[in-house]
Amino acid sequence: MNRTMPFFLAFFFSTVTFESVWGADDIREYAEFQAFHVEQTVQAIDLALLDSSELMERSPDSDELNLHTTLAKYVERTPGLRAIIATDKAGQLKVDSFTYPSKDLDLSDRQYVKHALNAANRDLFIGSPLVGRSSGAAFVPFARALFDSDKKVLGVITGIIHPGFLIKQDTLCTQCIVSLFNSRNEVLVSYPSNAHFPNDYTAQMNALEKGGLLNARINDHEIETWVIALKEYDIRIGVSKFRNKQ
Amino acid sequence: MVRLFLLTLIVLLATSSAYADVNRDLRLAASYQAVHAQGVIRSADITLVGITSLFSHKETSAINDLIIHNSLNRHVERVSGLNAVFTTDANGNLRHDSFRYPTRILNLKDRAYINNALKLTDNGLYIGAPIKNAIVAYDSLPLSRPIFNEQGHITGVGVGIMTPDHLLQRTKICKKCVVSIFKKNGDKIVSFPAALQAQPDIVQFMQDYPGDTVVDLAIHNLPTRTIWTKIEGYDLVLLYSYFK
Repeated sequence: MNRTMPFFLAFFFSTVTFESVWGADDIREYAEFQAFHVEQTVQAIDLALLDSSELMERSPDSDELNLHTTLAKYVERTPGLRAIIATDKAGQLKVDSFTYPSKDLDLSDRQYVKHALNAANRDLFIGSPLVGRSSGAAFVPFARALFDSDKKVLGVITGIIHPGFLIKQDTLCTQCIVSLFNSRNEVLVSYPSNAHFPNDYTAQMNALEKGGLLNARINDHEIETWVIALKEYDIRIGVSKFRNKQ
Repeated sequence: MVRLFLLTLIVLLATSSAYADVNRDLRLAASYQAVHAQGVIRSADITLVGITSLFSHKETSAINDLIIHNSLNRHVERVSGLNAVFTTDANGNLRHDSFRYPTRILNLKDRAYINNALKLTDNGLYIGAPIKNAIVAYDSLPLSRPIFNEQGHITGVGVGIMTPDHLLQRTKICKKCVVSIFKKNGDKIVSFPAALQAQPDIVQFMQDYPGDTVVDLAIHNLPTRTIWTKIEGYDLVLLYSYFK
């Protein structure tokens, strides 16, 4: 029996070591893939909004139907983009890719409109996740200021994003959780969709400026998360797995 | 006896885990390349939406040709892998070109990317087959979509010319792997290594095996693990093989 003990130990430790190494590598590879998918998706949305904003800036007084038709074409070709809307400098809705004619709607109280109207440049602002007042569907606003040729603000163009498109759910490790956070520690989207993260955990994630492995506890359960930061868009992506899961 | 059993168990565990690892790595690697290719084509696609929309408004005809040429160049600079954009009228006559100013007098009506774009009835994108460059014979990939006027009639075509090599992220391809992108009709768009000949008939392979599934496949009598996956949003597929 004593002679078999080293084999038992070798078997035990090789299995445990393999599982722990595999676990960290596994979430890292899936996190890198999810981050790449997010980056590609956001870049496409960013490009569509940049092109659309140039159209609005070039011809702000164009016929609304023409603008509506063109914005709808961008939406049709850009995954994750549900609608593009544009306001004037007072925050009043002027063009909507979804509805023509656009509704008589004052959006000046919306955080993303206020932020973009006060912006000094055309940087993309990723707002907080919201629920549509009429649709009831979750969305994330991507907003950018519109300027005239004298650099005076003309209004705001906003992409209404379906956040589910930011995650590639069919390419994820078994029993893993993927989550996207903005710099304000808000969850933009997660899978499973109703995953809830305590504030101290999201703060720890955001503290990892360069990303990497985060070992944390949620409700007394150990969880390891591989964090990747997309600095250009101020988004953090985490792929997590509870320690007792393979 | 117990020791033999344990040794066998260790070997079996290691082998099955390694096998599962290769499958997982291959799926991830193929998905990564597919997302990359989709991102590159998507950027060109969105750029062509902007250009064809610009020329759908009659006010654009009043804009100076040089301003348009410069504007087209700004679009080209934004998109990785995009070499040029140009527009033609409905008869295939070149109208505006990011590459040369003043625009050459050239009729492109016999080009497949013009003819096929003129047949499109909606906001779709036509992806052509690679064309050999006339001077140094490298491949160029044409993408095109029709220009509709405000009444919905086709008045021309917007074309983007890409270098298809940009569709693959070479630094992420493993040393013993080969990758190709095909149109669903079997036309090859690009592969790495570029001179790759030894891959199965993609149309037959897609019929024989479901997508996103790693299969054992002999290519020229060499054992491989091979997977195909869709490039979402386009009639393109990616084939990824790992030589064991």
